[in-house]
Amino acid sequence: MSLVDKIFSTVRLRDRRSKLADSPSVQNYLSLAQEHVQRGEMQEVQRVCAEALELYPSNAELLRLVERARELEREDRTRELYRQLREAPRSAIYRELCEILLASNRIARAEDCAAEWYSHTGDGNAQLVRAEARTRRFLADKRRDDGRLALELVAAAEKLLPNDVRTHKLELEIYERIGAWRDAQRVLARLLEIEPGDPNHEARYRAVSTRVDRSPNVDQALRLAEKEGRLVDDEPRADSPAPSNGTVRPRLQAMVAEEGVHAAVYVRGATALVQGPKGATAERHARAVREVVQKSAGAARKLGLGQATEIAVEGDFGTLLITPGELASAALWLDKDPEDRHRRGLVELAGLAGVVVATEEAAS
Amino acid sequence: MIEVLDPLSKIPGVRLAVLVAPDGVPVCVRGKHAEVPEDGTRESADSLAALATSWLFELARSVAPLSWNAPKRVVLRAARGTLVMLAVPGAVLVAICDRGVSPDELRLPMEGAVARMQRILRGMGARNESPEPPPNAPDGALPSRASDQEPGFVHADNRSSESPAVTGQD
Repeated sequence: MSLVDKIFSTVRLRDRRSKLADSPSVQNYLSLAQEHVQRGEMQEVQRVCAEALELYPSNAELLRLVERARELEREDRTRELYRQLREAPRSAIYRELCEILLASNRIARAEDCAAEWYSHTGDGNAQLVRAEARTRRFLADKRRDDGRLALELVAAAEKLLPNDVRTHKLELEIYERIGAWRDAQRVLARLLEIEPGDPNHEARYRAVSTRVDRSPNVDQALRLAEKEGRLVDDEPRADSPAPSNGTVRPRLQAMVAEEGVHAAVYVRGATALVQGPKGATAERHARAVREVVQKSAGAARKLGLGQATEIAVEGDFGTLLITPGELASAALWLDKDPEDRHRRGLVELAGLAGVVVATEEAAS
Repeated sequence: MIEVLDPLSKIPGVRLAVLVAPDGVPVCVRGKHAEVPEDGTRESADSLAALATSWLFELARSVAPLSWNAPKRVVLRAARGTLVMLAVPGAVLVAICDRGVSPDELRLPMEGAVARMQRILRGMGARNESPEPPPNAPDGALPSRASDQEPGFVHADNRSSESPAVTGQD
């Protein structure tokens, strides 16, 4: 910013501050924060937004701005840390960089950074960060290979940091989330050796001991998590109320009434509603949609793409467009290319039974 | 095949383009993630090819009871990327792209890549079937069938035929 710009900006800043003092509205807070953005003062942006959020706690614009300011600050710091690493790589800088990357959900980059850290220094903390990153990826995708690799990295970190409770806690988290209770009990016993008398560990040990009898081994538990796409402590699927036929059927009928649409299918668990085909053909359609969703969700996880959000199968039969939801899926069979309104309709339909898309980390 | 996949892999947002045989074996791999790191932490093109083709066949099996033929093109959009597959006779073209990329943007480039591939294969087939040798090809070590006009030489293969195997010296 040139000197002239800086003078003008200071004048504008003073003006906006006085306006805000007269009337502390969302708009005035936003305009003051935006002036600080122009000046590159991200700390000030966050301070102004925090003050505004005390008055207007659920304002979406303020929340978006504060999040963006935090992100920009993290980016600046990341750039600076990369510069320092090029000059003189050392553990403290790597650690801070990995923490920032993990905080901003750039898990793949954090893992790469930790791998580089480990290759430079051989520090056990680097292995722990790698394990943490891989665990987060596993918990998001439920992919068996990720889980296995996370456990291998935890074991490698444990060798380097034998009495560090963080490695054991991370290991315990994986075992508990997948339901490998026998292994969780073993880790809790080790934690109690390191921290004897810890009431939290003791309570967890007692709780886990009651489940050991019906515990699968780690490989079975990982396989089950990948197959079902959920962990043992995920919300039970039956909790959310099923939308009634009266809600779903009119939407399906409206979709299938359009020219070029042959069938509209809604599948939730073992129940399916089909508009278009009748009798046994309708049943076959429902079964096909269910199978395609099941296979595709598994394939997306195995391929490391995360949760499937849309499936399109095209052939000489036309296009089968499916939106898989967390609890229910909706599908359309068309003989033309699907348009955005078809997609929106399916997302709404699948969303009636719960969340459709779990937004995960941005591809880094 | 590299020149077929190169334009596809250079489209912004395309991470990997793989030409796969129907049995899941990768024939050609291009793209940013084509190389596997030594620690094996990232998916190799081999496993991608195998998983993707097996998924394609599972889809074909799932829609078969509806009397539908095997799918030609499938798209799987997910939280961290999109998989696009185009099945052609004898091969499957697979592309993995970033989350923001629309699969429709890849439709034309993928079809173009397939058309180029088929053109190359047709050309190779035509060359293999061509009966005439290239004009500057060297002479063979043994006399060819066309040069059997000279008296006194008979191919060993023809000895069992009606004509006796007689040389000029006899």
